[in-house]
Amino acid sequence: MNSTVDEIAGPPHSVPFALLDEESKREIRRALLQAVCIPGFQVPFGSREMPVARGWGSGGLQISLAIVGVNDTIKVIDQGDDEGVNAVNLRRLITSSTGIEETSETDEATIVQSRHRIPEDAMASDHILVLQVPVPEPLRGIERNMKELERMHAEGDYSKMWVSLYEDKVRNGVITQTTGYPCLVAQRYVTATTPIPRWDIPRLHQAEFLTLFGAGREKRVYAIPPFTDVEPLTFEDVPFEVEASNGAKCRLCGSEETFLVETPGSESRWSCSDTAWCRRKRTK
Amino acid sequence: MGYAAARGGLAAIEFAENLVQELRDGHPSSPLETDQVTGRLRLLVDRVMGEAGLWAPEFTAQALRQAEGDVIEAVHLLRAFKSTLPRIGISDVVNADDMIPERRIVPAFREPGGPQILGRSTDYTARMLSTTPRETKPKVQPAGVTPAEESLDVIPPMQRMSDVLRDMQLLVDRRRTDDPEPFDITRMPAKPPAPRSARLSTMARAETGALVGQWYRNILGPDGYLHEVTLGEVRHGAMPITVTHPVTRNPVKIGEYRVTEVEAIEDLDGIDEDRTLFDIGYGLCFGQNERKAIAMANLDIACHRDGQRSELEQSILMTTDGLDSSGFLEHLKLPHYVTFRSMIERKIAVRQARLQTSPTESKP
Amino acid sequence: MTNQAEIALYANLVLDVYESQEVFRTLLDALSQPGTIHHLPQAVAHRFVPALAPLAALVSHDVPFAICGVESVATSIAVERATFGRSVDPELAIFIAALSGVTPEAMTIKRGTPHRPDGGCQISYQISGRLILGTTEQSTFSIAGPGVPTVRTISVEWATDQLSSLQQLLDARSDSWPMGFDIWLVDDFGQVVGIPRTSNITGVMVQHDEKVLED
Repeated sequence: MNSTVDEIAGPPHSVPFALLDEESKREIRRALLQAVCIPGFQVPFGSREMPVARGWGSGGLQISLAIVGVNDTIKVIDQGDDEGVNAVNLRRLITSSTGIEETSETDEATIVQSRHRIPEDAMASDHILVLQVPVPEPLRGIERNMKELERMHAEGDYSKMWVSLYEDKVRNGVITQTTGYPCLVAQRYVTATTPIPRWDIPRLHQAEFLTLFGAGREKRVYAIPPFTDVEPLTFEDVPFEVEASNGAKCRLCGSEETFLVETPGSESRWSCSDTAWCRRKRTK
Repeated sequence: MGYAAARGGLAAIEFAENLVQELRDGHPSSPLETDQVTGRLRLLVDRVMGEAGLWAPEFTAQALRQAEGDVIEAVHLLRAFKSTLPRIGISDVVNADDMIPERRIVPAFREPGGPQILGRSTDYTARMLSTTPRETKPKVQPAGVTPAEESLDVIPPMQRMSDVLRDMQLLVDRRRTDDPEPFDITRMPAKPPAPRSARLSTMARAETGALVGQWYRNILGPDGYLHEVTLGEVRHGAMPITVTHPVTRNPVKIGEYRVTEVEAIEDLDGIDEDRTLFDIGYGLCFGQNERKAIAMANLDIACHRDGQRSELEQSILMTTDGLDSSGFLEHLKLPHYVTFRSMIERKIAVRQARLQTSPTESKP
Repeated sequence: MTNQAEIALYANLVLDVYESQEVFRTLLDALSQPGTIHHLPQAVAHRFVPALAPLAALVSHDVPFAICGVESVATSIAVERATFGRSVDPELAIFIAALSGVTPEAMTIKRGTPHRPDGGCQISYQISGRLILGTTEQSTFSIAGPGVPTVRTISVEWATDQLSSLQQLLDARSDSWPMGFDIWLVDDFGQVVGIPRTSNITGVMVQHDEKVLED
């Protein structure tokens, strides 16, 4: 019996459920299962080329596509905003290839894919947070040689990082790390928390939800399980500082309890970074 | 309309997509057919296939058309397309000597074993911009020379320069007796120290400009890991794709593709090297892309000689992929206002610390 | 196993894309929330020994796995056919199904390396019986560490006596985190409890009474 390539391989250009072929999904899933058992360790994986460019969320997207099922509801945000155009593009890629529901309400979502923010609403064990990672290596700024970086993580030798933080404090009077503050996870691995603000760092510590991190360009995933210690690196006499807001309030909803972003100008105007939270507060 | 805070982000995207499509497909010039791209811009097609790591001239033409000629965009379209294709099998190993060469030059020797074929090349043509491209130029008739009698099907055997040097006992013998599985960079990320197959396959689909730039920077720039080589082989021609028949177990040719292949001869002069010998670097890529294959061969032998002393291999493995580099560069266009707000806050904190006012209190 | 049974097993082990995703989520939840009970999808749990589900869902082309226990050879062939994975000796496997109380040689289980702790094996251990939350008069152990708020307890209501075999596997876990291996306990009803290498297992494994298990 003669077979055609189409018969063996399936019809061309038929897009599989959640874009990725089964083997790719299984590979990503295996990496994630290892990651969850080694909190904070960067697990290499065969990152596939996605319809979004490297550096634009291809890693987070691969995680979401590998884990998503027909009963999930997806929320995608960028800087806390569901309507950011890149978030919109990622979300429509996920929903169009799976048929699942989308939402901007955190408590309706089961998977939240995010660039640079943790949603303000509390998440629990029925949530999975997927963070997009530009640079998964927290020590990149202090060491460029990859073999040395591997050794530092393998031996838990983070002395160079501590020296760098100390010098920062001495030179500048404060530790000047902005977003993506380096943290020690489960007392073992220093981890790149992605450029989330310091505001969000305490919410990773002993969280009720699972956080998965996807770095598509650098081809690694890592994880922080729920109820895991996440400690920002600092000194005993230098308390960890979140972003100060000096009494600023959201100009739309009046909130002082959420992370605010600024529109600079003669009259400083602040608003909630988490647009869905803000909108809900205003309409309640 | 602010793109980050835009309400109706989806509408903004769809407007942008429509605009691109209308202006691209609605251009008043004659429609661009794919055979025009494959036929008249073949070197561009070859380059894109090489960087995509996919031999598919028709689809490449479509990708170039869709991408309005942006090479990286076209490569992205093809690689993402490749991600949706299932792997139905693995072809048999082929020998590079199975190539039917359209072009072969050997700078290292005046009369190498087998012919030198200048072939289809503009290397020795004066770069004069022809301002009337449609004009049919009269064919140049080389004075007193008749075209070679032999057709390309009966090329005399070409003895590889590396084999010649080996016979003269002038070549380091790095041939191995085992046969390890090649490293599959599409399934596992390579990082130093990496097996040679990882290095070669990374370079085979690296961005052409990135490899040329790496080479040039190393020759003349501050890094200085490389020396100029002498090229032993520059070949371009068709290679067969063969698979093992599932029933008969015989090899079956199912198609062909073209490659450029380069062997670069390196004069060993290091303190811990054997001065009586040469060593070889290897370059291979899809299509006719000679500068890429030459750069690749140079960088291959440079990495080998460097022996992990410097970060050359890391540089090649981690910074020469076109999609990774362009994607990350252009991601700077994405909103970064959360980080920026955090930066402003830290600058104010530093300023305050310098003024020795009371430190900013942490949020409970 | 008869040839027919082998073919039937192989066919049953082929999971469709939805089934493999659901099984994966169960396994992910189990490992990220150690000491909680999660359920394999019914359609999968009834098709073959539930402890084979992790391999059926996760193994793909050339991934090395091993089966320990009764009919291991025939089962390995069936899993190979269904997943295109590669059946190997347990010391080379990254996934092992430990069936009918048979565990691999403890010291040879892959635990990864300091540079690549992600090479540790993940073992699906068949519980002939039922997993129960909390403390009972049955075998009980406590579990703490990442993923656990303070401490959780899990008990096992055994159908056949495999207490010492499970104890052996748990004792083989060493204090070399981040290297180590991870375990899914999978009972006859498709319930799953995850024990990642990060978990601290304490408590007394008591002998169970002879008890007829009610379905």
